[in-house]
Amino acid sequence: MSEPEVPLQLGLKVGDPAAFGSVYDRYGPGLYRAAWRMLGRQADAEDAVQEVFAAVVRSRHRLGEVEDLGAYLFASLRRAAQRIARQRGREPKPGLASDPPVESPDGQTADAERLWRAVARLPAAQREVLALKIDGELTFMQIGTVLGISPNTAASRYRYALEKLRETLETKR
Amino acid sequence: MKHDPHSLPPDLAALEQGLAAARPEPPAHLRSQVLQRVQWEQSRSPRRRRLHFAAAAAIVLLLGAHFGFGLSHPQGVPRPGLDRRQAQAGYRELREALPELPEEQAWRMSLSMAAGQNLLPYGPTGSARLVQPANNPRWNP
Repeated sequence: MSEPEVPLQLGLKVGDPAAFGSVYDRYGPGLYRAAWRMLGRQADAEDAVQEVFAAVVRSRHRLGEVEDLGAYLFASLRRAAQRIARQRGREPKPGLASDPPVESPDGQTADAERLWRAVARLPAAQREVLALKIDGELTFMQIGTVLGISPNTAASRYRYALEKLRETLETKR
Repeated sequence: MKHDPHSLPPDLAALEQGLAAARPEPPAHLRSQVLQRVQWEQSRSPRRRRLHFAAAAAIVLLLGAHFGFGLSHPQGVPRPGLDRRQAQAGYRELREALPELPEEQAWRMSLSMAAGQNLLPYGPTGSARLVQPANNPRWNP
């Protein structure tokens, strides 16, 4: 557990609203972006982030055992995203949707939108690792914890995902 | 210089930068929605605990009542024993009627017949004698 997160986790454990606010400010944007990338829809991403915080409230008595709050929150997000995808009937179990609906953010340049859509067409496992690294800004160590794989496997999966993305973009040209 | 196993070639690094630049920002309302949800979950938690406690207490009470009732109303199923004399008589009859029947098989059949005579349906609380017909016809080859 990193030093600055200890009081934050204690705050969450006792249900302090300010601690929840601080955790949202630190992790909320990353969780939201990763959820959007995983689920492909803005509304679903918002639901997933809410689910993560609701799960923290429900299991706050176990927060003392959590060593890495960031990895814990993103693991919770992954479960929430899988649940939401299943509820929407889009998930081939047990991974995330392999062909999610593509809804890109408003006001993007044509290049950015092309990139966004190309990511949405990646296989679920590769999209997931991209979401955790780029949108969630997690380290490979944290990604390994979230996905239950080694940091090296997470790093190579990330690299394969970028290579596949490059191929997709080149064939589209 | 130490090689970083996680370093990317320039084209992939550029792609990574492009992806990072295209990240959407969360809508302003999401923070307040999340904090409202947290508040709602917090208010729900004590209610859920009380409900879980009530459900657990009800289960314990039901199990206790069931166990107590079981102790005060024994419902043993009577197991009629095997009549050895009947089995021996059956064995003799079989050997007389079918001398070519192997000895072991004749014993097995006579034991089955003797046991089968007692297999009559009766309820778990009743006595076998209450439902067993008075004139139980013996098997007669």
